Amino acid sequence: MPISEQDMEAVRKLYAALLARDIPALTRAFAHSTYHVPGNNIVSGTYRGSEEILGLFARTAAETDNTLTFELHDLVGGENHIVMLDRAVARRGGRTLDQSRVLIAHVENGITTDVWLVVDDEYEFDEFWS
Amino acid sequence: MRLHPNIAIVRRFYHAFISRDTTTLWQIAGEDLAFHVPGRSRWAGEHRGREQLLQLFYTVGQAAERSVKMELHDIVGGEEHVVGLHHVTASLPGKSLDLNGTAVCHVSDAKISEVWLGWQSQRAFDEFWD
Repeated sequence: MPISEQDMEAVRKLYAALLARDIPALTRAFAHSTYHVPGNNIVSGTYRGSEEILGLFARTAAETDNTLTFELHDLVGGENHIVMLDRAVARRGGRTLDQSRVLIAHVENGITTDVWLVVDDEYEFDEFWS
Repeated sequence: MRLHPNIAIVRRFYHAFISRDTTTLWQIAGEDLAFHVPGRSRWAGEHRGREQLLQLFYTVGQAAERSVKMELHDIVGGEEHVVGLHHVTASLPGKSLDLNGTAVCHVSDAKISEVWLGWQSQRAFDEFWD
């Protein structure tokens, strides 16, 4: 059965909460989630639950002097997944990051369980976060 | 939620790729299709047009000694973007590839005009083709 409108709405709200830095909403949304960041750098790895995931967000904001911004291009659903296409821009220690990203979310009954990040250029991503 | 009709077009493309049905691939690939392969492998870069695309598929198949297998996990999409989520395996003496990947496609007039590939681990992909 295809992804429901309710699940699409849940992920849309989650992304909006991310942009608004709505900590209570993100804490609720990520309570049972796992977030996978690719590459070989200081932010690569698997983050489980709100504490770890929000900890990562806080760290990326601090490391980039709050220059990290996101712009959502599209949010689309299929049978079991919701995919967000966005653009991330940030500055850190004289370097600039400007990447198109693919975020793959597994959603069940309005709850985001698993998010996988795929970046446009993993080498550039690693250099930025080295 | 109803699945967008563009999803069916990309699904046909995947099935044609998996079953090596070049006639169907030819029908669905736009004449000037731009196929972007990320990373630093010998396949990295833009492959433009049906002939270059088929040449790429053929050469990759040869290089992997016909071991490339693709399994489609899901296709998500809407009017502007369709994203294929797949799993690829391949093996060569002494090394193997086992990776999740994404294909962000633009569909216009029932043809695929642009494809951007992405990998869960770009390094793993590039090292396999070293």
